[in-house]
Amino acid sequence: MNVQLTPDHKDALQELMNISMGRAASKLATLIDLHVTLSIPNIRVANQEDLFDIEELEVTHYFTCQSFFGGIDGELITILSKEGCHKVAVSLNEDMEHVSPHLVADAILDVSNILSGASLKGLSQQMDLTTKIHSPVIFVPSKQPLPLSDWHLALIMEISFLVEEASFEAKTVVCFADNDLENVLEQLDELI
Amino acid sequence: MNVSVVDDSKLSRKSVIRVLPKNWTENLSEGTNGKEAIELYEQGKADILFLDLTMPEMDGFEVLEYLHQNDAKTIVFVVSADIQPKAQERVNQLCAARFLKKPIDKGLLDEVLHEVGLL
Repeated sequence: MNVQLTPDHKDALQELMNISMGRAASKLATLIDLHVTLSIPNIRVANQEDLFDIEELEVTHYFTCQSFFGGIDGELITILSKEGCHKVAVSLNEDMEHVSPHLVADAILDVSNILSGASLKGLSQQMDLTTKIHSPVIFVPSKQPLPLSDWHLALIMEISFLVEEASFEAKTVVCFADNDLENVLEQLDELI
Repeated sequence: MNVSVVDDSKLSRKSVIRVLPKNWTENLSEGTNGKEAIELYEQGKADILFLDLTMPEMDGFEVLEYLHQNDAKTIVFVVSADIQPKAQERVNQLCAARFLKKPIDKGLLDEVLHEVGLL
């Protein structure tokens, strides 16, 4: 994990992400019929510690993963605050007093697909890559450890949304296979 | 005509500047946050302002409010990735000339500049 992001790479990734996130937030806002306040995404190369820390979030967060392939290969891991997911599930099912675990699971999958799926799709489109993304699945890190060591490089994109007054945070970790992050950075060089 | 482009992202400022009419780049200034946008306005460098919404220090909405309260004659084009209807509505209420979606498109910008009588 010795790839360094230059300030220009970081700026470009952040901006491309920002555009993709804007599209994703607009989709999410339509889905839950609430305004979503966007903040500037924070992007950095993950270090070993980050990847270990992830598993500690299990108490307060849900995890999903979805693989992508085509122009770039890898896996997207989305970490969503449990509180936020419950709120989204409630707004999706307004007429219900209590949402069942099944409905919460649906909300988790919908939201991760919209956020991470749309962001990666947006990112690849803007770089002229055709990346295909599988549907997300929920997983529990303590039961199904992540094959993190299989991924050579990972980018962490921290995204936080404010849905009306309810804070909802999401973190997306993009793990790239082999030297794909380097390819992404090369593509970015053409833009900057 | 003094033109200012304010966005915290260098890439984004570059992509706006790239699609501006050629003679607009002679008196061009750049800023990276809302505070700088207001400074540029006060220095008379923003007859036309291309403004991002999501920025550190002071965001685009606050800049629009300030300009509105001060009866500024600045023609503001909001260039934003936040494309939710509510964001667009708020921008229109604050009297921005137009809302342009990122990434900004040259053809669309020319059309809009025609419509508002700048081209």
